[in-house]
Amino acid sequence: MGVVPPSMKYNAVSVKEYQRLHKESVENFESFWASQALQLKWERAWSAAFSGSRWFVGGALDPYYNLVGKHLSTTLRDKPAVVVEWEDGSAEAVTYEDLHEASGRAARALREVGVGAGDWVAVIAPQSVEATVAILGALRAGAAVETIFTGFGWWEVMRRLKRRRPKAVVAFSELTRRGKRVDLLLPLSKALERLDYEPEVFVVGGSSRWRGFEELIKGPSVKESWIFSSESPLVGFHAGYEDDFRLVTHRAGGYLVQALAVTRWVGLRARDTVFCTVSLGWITGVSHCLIGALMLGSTIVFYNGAPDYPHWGRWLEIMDYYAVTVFLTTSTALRLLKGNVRAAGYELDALKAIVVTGEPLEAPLWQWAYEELGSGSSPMVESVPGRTGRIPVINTYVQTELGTFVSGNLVNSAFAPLLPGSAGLPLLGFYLDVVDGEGRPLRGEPGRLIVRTPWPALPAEVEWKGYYDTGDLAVMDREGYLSVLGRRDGVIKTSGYRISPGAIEAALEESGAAKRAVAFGVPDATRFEAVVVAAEGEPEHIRRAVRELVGPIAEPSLVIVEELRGEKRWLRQGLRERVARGR
Amino acid sequence: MPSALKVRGCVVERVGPFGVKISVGSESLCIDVLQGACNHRLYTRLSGNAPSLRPGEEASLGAFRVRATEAYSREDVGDERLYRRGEGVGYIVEAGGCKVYHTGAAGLIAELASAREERATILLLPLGKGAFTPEEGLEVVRSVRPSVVVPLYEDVREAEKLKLLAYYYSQVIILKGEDKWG
Repeated sequence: MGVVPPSMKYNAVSVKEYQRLHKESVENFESFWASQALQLKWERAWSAAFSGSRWFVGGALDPYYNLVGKHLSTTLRDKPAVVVEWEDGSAEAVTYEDLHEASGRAARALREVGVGAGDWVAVIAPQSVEATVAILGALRAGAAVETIFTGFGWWEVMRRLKRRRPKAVVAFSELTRRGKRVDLLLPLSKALERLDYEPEVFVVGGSSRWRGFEELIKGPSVKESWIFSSESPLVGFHAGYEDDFRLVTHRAGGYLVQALAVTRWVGLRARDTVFCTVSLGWITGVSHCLIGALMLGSTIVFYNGAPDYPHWGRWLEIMDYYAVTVFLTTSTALRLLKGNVRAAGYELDALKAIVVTGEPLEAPLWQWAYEELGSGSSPMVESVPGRTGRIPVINTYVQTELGTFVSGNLVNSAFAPLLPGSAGLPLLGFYLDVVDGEGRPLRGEPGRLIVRTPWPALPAEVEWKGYYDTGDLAVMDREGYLSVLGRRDGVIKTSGYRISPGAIEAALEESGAAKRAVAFGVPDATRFEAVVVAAEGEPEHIRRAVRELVGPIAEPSLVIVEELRGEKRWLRQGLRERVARGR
Repeated sequence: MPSALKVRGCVVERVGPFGVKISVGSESLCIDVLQGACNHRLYTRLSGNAPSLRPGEEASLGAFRVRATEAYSREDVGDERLYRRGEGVGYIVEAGGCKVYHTGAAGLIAELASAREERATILLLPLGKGAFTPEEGLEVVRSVRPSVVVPLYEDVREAEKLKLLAYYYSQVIILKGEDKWG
């Protein structure tokens, strides 16, 4: 399938013109990002755009004002900020003004339990109004936020809390999936019991042991919000490495500049309603589905339930009945939809862009999304009637350390043609390159995907040394279109999530479930990679242990019972090759 | 399709094509609902013994403060739909922090043009025979500019059409309900 030019209703540019704009942006990356930073309101101007691995040095800003506060004096005040549909069909909408009120209360309650500037608040919650209020409340109180995916097992949650040491934790007591109750209190209790300190815990849905979420939002609201220095931590994550998950901390100034710019470029505006299926525990869920979308004044639609309950059309129904204009999802989710649902019977004409992330989006799947979900019932001026596609399907490349999408196509800016099967072109301001072992650029063949200039959301843990190695293997064609092939190391990419094999192995070994374990990923038709564990032990026991300790997303599809000798790195490689050969 | 929508403590559900149940806590107010349990009932058609308020009247029904608004068709522009002046009514219902505006079956009347000042949280918009066309619905949405528009409809295609016309101006949410009269 060839290149697909954007409709002329966008600011369509040729690849050549885009290349010129991109070259200009990365050659003058400091002034480029400094100009983007002017979109934010700063309380104190920065003295240097970039200096010594830090962005907007000396600057200070009010993150809350830039997310929500700025909308209150505009007509966006009464616009829904977040709409949540639960699995049982009940829905809730909160306006920007409602969020302002509730987050002000949460900020006061958090301050009363001692949370303030420099502290962390952990939010272990599904996409919900409560999670949004907790995150905004923490920011207003001056704290940074780490969101933790609700699908993690207790051991992984415990290790994240141990590393980050949040002063307060906001969590849900339960969820409903496919009509069944999923208990989140038990794993939370297990994780908290094993900490060497006691954070303040607020639980949505009630618990006899901890404070209820109601206590967080019952008191009076604070009027003000905290001013962060540009270099203060704002949001934190854990990213999967071969040996373990590691801390990734994004600083306030640079992160917000990047989240706003990129979320706008890929398609969101104040008039948009974005349906986002990426969990708040992952970088896209926070940077684009929440923070970027709020900064732009969009309406965010969250669905809290299984995508196939009661049938696979659930997400399409949501896009239909909430007048969704931007669908932000993962390749894995599209793969599942493709096999199970047809767009006929759903009215998707309000949809104007589909943004995909997580892992490679192969050309046939891109084509399915373009024609099936993107055709609509009434053709656009330039399109041919029938299921021929009419809205852009943008695939992107993202990494926790990079903070936002860094490649794709710019729906709301200079929109270069789409190349199905690729992750688009490097976005403006991001100097991505694919190189060989000696750092020489490679075109048309696989190599290391690196970033040659610092990006504003450069994590606090990364010391800038002239380039950053993403750890991913990619191909860049002569025009600059990027195709990410997967990890160069042993990190497992499954359903868009980056899972550390070392963390799975440590969970099994430290808990005594296995004396020695090796985890690795093998290609999987739906999830990109599936987890395989080799260990001495009973396969069902190993499977259950991984599910409970690390979480269902890391549950092995195959357990190889084997005595393991030698260095893990080589064991992983040897076993992976063996599984690939089918032995 | 969502079955119930909660905004600022008010839960709105469709009952039948044009009926709606508004609940706050354990209390409920039904508008144009023929069957089922409700604490309070109101109708937008001023006829017989059906409980209703006259335009301009106000009442407190438990947790609900209700104000009746004008709803009629405009004969001066050849609008020959159901209600003449004095035959129909709309309601503005306030409870807790929410304000629900049910326009009643009306044409594009002058009273709608000033409804923006109400800052309605939810606009309940009847579509179809005797009520607004989707195109007129767009005009109402543009006048009222509510946080959320919930169309009341017999034919879902009309709700879909309103959605496509009005989503640019307000968040449209199409609620499930029995689309036929019970």
